[in-house]
Amino acid sequence: MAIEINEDNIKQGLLGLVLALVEIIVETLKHQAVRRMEGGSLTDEEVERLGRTLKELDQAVEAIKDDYGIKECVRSVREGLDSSLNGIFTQATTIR
Amino acid sequence: METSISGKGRPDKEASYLYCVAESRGGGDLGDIGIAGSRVFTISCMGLSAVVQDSRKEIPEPGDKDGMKACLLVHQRVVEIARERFGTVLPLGFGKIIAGDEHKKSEEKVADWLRSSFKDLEIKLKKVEGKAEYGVQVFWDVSLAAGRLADEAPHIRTLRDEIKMKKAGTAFLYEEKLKAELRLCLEEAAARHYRAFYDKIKDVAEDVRIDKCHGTPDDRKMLLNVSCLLDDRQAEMLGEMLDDIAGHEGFSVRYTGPWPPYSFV
Repeated sequence: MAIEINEDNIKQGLLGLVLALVEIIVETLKHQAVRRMEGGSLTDEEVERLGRTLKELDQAVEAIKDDYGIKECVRSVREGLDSSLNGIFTQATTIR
Repeated sequence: METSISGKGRPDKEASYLYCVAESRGGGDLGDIGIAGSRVFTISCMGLSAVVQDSRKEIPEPGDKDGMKACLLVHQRVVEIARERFGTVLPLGFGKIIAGDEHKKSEEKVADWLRSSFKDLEIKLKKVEGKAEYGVQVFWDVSLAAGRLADEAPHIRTLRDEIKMKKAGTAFLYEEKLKAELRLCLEEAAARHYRAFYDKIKDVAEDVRIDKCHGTPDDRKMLLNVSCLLDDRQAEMLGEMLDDIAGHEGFSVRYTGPWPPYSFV
């Protein structure tokens, strides 16, 4: 089967992959931030600052996806990763 | 005994491509209905007949997607015709080949295979006798369910109200918390619905195989994807039960069949 490769394809694919990974990292950060907020170890002001920073980060990621038209690409990379992870979990459960 | 086309490539030697096995002492010739218009015929042994074609030249190269797709459709059609001719058949998956060698022709090897697998094939034929395979897919409108949860679950409602009182940064983290809570509730609800529907289907069907759920182009989530082995009466009962599921707001159902029982052999 022939695969069409051109420079634009590679750039878009690479950027999509990077953004997908960035999204996952941002989500992990948000998850941690909520946990710390819940844990009560942050002052109200710290929570507000952390929230603002993460919100800006979130908006920046969305803006890059829009600017480069890679929303679909990122979604597809993430679906692929989800599906691989599901496969690994299913296997692990079966082995256990 | 079998080699797969995709795994081994085009067979170099004389070989037989297998479609299905039927309980029959031989139905002879099914005509030129095989892949690339090849003659499809039966090889019989001990009251079982394998429906085959000669596969020396007609199988497409691995990677020839269109060729493979066309062959797959022919494969399904031949199995369907064999089912009309012989009644119950054990369909074989696409790409099963028995190759001959310098000592034995492939046709003799097919007969050997029927002989050596007789007991197993008989058991499987008995299992699927008078039954067919049906596909059931249940879809769930996640947005609708999420909206309803947000309105009905007290802790979600409280959280939503709290967000309105917070400053922008804090509200953002509260929204994340709300999303996580909603996701958890939806996952629990999905698991509950899955179990309930699966149990209902299992009660009606002779046998059930769980298939992988796929993504959908819209906002619906495929909640359940199963293949069921059913006789006519069970097929009717399952149809009525699925109508009942589809009657619930937010759920839709795809019910397909009857197919030859590929998933149960």
